[in-house]
Amino acid sequence: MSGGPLRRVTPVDELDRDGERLVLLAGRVVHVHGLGPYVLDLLAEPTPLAALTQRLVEELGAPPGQDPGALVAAAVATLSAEGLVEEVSPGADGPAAGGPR
Amino acid sequence: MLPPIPLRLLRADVDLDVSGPGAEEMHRSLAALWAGCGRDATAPGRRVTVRVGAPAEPESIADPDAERLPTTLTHALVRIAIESGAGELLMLHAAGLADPVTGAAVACVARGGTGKTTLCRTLGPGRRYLTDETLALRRDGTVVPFAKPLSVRRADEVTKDEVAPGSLALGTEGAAPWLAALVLLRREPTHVGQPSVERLGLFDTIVALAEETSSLDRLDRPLHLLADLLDVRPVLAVTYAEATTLGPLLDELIGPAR
Repeated sequence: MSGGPLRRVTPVDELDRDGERLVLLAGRVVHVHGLGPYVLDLLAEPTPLAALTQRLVEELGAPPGQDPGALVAAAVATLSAEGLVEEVSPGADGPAAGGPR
Repeated sequence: MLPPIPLRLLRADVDLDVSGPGAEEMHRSLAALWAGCGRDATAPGRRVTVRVGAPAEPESIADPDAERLPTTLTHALVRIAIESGAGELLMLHAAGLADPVTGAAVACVARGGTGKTTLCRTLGPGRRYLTDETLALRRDGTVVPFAKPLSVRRADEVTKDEVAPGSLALGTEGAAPWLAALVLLRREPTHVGQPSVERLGLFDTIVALAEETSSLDRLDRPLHLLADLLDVRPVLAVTYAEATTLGPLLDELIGPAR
């Protein structure tokens, strides 16, 4: 990740149960828990990591004794490794891309 | 000219035309092997030609080895069946057996080569054989039977013989089948004694099942479909060594053999 805005990959289907989530991508199911479901919801729109962290702190409160930025970065890294989150490439369609319309 | 063999392969109506050298004997043999998938030929189906030798036309299934042709044909017809169900049926890599009177069916999900056919041969007599390969479910939990010939591995573990369900005392008729229970099977040759049985949570079940499905992502809201089907039925993960030891479990889930 090079610091650009992030967004979630559109799944085939997803299922929520007790704060956890199953996400179906092409032929593969991923079990998402912890911060993961919140992150996915907020990344429906392209969002930079700092703004994502800020919104999570607003929504969930600051984690006592821990760096929220590090926690969110770790969650994003996990989701990214699973193919659920991607960085919006420069010039891609979307408000964060900033390119000419 | 031999009459076509009319089959229903999940949602596909297929008419097998058998031609080439030894066609009469091959026709007789294939009609017996696929009797469990027979249909009333009120309307013509997709024509598939089968011949010993080289393919004669695009939609033909051929093998120069007459002994191997039935297995080649099975692979091709399973593909047609799965294509026909894509987007409509939940298709599990599973053996399926049912009580012929109540229709209560168990799906025994397992990877290829890990005991589905053996389970059908061992625990199928006195029950209705639904499939040894692809168990197809409608959204309401009813089962679409796919009573293909059983693909029985020889001792060399590579070659398969196609065997008609009837010749293994497996019935293919009975009350409309519906899913009563689902078992994720793991055969461990070193497992000792009775099967170990574990109840799985919904998410663990779906993650495990997703790898043993065909065309899951072509269904409408597939995860919700799985949840709807599995929330209201027993789902067990079972580790075993010998198919005979699964008898009491099947008795409990769908009733004893009749």
